[in-house]
Amino acid sequence: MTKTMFTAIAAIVAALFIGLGPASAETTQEKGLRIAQSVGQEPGFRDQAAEGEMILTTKSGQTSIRRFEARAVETSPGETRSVLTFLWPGDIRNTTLLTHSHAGGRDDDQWLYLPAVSKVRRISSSGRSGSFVGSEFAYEDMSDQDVDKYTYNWVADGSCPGGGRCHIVDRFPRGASAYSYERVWIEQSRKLIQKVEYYDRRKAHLKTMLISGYRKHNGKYWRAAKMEMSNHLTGKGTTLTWDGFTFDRGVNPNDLTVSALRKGL
Amino acid sequence: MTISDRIAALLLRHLRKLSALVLLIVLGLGAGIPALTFSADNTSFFGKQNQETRDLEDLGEFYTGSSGFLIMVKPPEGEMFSLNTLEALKEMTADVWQAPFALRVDSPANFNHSRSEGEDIIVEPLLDEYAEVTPEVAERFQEVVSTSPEMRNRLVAADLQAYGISLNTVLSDDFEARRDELLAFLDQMEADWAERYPGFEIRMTGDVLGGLTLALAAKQDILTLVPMAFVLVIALLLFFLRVPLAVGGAALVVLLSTIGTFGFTGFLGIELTAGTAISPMAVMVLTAASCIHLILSWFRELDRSDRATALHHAISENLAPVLVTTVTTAIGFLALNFAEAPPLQDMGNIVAFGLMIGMIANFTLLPLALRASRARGGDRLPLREGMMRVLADLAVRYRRGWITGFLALILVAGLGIGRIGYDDSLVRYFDDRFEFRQDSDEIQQHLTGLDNLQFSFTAPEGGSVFDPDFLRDIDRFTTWIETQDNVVGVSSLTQVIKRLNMSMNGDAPAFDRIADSREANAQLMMFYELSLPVGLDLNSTIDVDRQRTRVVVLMRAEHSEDVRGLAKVAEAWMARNTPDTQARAAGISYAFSTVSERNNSQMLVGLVLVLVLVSLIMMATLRNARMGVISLAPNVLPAIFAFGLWGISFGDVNLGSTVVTTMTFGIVVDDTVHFLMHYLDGRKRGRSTVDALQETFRVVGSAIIVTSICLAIGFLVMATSGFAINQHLGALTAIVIGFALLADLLFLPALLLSFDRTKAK
Repeated sequence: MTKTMFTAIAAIVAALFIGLGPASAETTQEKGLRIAQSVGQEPGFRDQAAEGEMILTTKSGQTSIRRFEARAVETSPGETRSVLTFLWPGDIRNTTLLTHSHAGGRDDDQWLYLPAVSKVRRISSSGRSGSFVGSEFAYEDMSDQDVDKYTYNWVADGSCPGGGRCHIVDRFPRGASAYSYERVWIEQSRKLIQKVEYYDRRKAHLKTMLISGYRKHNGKYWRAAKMEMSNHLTGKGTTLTWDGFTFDRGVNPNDLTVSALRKGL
Repeated sequence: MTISDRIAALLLRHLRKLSALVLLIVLGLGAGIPALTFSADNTSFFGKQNQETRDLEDLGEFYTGSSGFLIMVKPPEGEMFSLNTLEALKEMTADVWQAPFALRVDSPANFNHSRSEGEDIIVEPLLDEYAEVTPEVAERFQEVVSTSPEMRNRLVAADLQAYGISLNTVLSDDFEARRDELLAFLDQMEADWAERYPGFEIRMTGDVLGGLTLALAAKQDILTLVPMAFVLVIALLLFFLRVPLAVGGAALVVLLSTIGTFGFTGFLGIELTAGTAISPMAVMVLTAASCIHLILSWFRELDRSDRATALHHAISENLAPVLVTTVTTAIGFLALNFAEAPPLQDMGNIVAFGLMIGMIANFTLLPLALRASRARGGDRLPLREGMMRVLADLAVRYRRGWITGFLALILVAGLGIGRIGYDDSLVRYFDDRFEFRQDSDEIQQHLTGLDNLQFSFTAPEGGSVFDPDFLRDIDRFTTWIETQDNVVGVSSLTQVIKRLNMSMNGDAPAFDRIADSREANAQLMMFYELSLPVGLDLNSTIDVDRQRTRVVVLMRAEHSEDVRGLAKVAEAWMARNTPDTQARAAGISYAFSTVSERNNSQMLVGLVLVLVLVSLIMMATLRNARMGVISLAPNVLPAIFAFGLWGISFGDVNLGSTVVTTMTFGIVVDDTVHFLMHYLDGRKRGRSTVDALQETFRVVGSAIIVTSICLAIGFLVMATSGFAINQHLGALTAIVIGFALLADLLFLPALLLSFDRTKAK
């Protein structure tokens, strides 16, 4: 989930501009892809950790909190291992989700460690489209936005929700998804995702995620501090805030495996 | 000159101007008609403050709220598991997902089946949406569908003859526009399916459709019953009164009172629903009755004086009784405010207001018509004075018989009343003429139960729903209630936890239980939650704060008593067996099952108040306390008889019946007022009881008979509604009026002969 998150989260990073001026005969699909590829370029990124807190709000105003810490390490380009360990509510403390995300559009592998029964179980992929721990985020909303997992279409350029100019690009999931497409606002200057609109299977606007509070860490990694997801159908919402980012602490990828998980990470 | 004479003179002097004014007022009120709206809210019958309503709101607040539809798909005979059928089911499921505002779709096709494969627990839909159905897939599908207890009686009929597809939508904001869009989609979908899948039977039910049928029933009643009642009442007036201009005047008065009533309702923004839509009809027939009194006394006066004097006398003679009867009737209706169900309160207020409009028109427009009439009197009327004399003789001669008879009837009625039960359900409120009822019956018969009881349990202070003791209690409750009569399925958090605990431990039956720690249970649920696809989340079972969980008990109930009974038994079971973990029964089925009882107990207060108020008015009007007391008997007994007769012949009553006693008291007292006023008048002039009775029969006998017939027929028209509340309200009221007629003509004279002897001289 993690890189996952971070990518999503961070939606990520501009840093490098990708050079290459637009070819004159570029189609909107090609332009969409080119813009998507420009997002999240982080040379030298190896591992990171952060703490997240979700505040779930129902339509009637009832709230609930989930807290977790996340670690991720890149094993090869496009391949990431990540763990997410829950801190709150207390009864799921130390429950840990391990995700191996793969390049080339292959489905991620996911396992859950349940400390109370000392078991590790694989999680079936059908859950990726469902609610993540009761929040309005689906796992796929936070998961690795690997460029290969979508096709793209550039829609327009317009102003960003948080100010500035944005590219507006539609992306269409290649594999199984709860969405027919997602519309993404990408800030032109820093190549950061500012907003995502999610359209359900019948192409109705289901959810909106606003990403804000981007800060540059270690002089090169752009990370967002706040992701607000609202569900327009149910009136529920979830605010996810990130804190305590650390980078390049030398996390060993071999510590993020199923057998390591069994031993209790 | 008496006050009545002076008012009559004043009215007659300014008759044109006053009539024009009344016309103007009514037309002004009529401007409110375009503002009339119809409510399609199936919770509109519940009092806003009571426990059931608050519990219902809590369910909506803590758990994923949604508006549900259930579609039954019945494949052709013997085709239940054919490849074609499974392809169709898969496509239908995908179609339903296209419904606007869909939150969740459940069908056997997308049912998430979990199985162990080595260490792994695989959760996947039975039919892959993107792959063709192969014979192997079909075989596995048939095996799972035939054996899964989770699907049986919900998504698959127990006899494996029909499938269910359930659709949950969120319509909350902008409800009406969203609903209409959704229904248009579903209509189109049904039409497409009829073409694409010949031989498949498709039925649909759900709370939104039920609510919509409420509005439909209200509109149908207004468009058919209200005009029908109007035509019938006018036809009756023509038959009994014969004079076209008089009847024309009465028709105009009745029409204006109806327009005024509808307009008033529109102006106040009262939403019409199936229970209130026919309120104007009550105004119509009651106003017609007042007109009859005026016209008949006008006829009588014409027989002995000139036209101007006759009209003057008719008005002055009727001012007091019509005023008193209108006020008592209005009090009866206003007492409906004691009812808990808002539509019944609305109905009371609407009718009470309409009656006032009717009365004003009755004393302005009707005299205007009578003045223009060239009629010479009532000599051609079907009810002749001779008949009244015979009737009076019968009443007097057999008075002991009548008293004995009526007392015997009380006993019989008591037996009948003992058989009465309350039956309220949204589905059974509608009769077979509505598609909603037909489809719901078919679905209930072939697929599942449509009633449910919900129990929302709150974890102990400082704990969570995952506490083992709390869950073990709920588990015991779940296991117990599964075996109760009429229960077709139960969904409870504990079933999921037990199943997962077992899967987690290599399917060992020893682990088919709640885990021993709060952490273990919470983590098992977390694993489950991470496996759920879009649309499914735990919030339908657990609140987001993990403090509450609900058990939903699906019932196939034939009668509200089944629902009420199980609720009561369940609550008692919890008090005895799981005293630390208890919950009240809640939900819409439960709220309906208790709505009559609640209304009835509230209406008792209203009834007592009406009895006291009306009796006081009677005593004041008659200036005779003894008469006030005597008058109670012929007005209270008809309701007792009517409910007795109902209990013997039909047995069950509903929400509409709970207000009948109070409402009809104000109506039936009218005839008694007319009767006693004339009787006492005769006594004051020195007549003996028998002579005074004879005279009373001669003067008001025909009016009482004609008005009673008109009222009874008017309310019988209401009873032909397709909506059970109106059926019961109309039929019972008509029966009460019938008995009241008998009581006034036979029982009241006997009472007077027995108890009024003392003051003859």
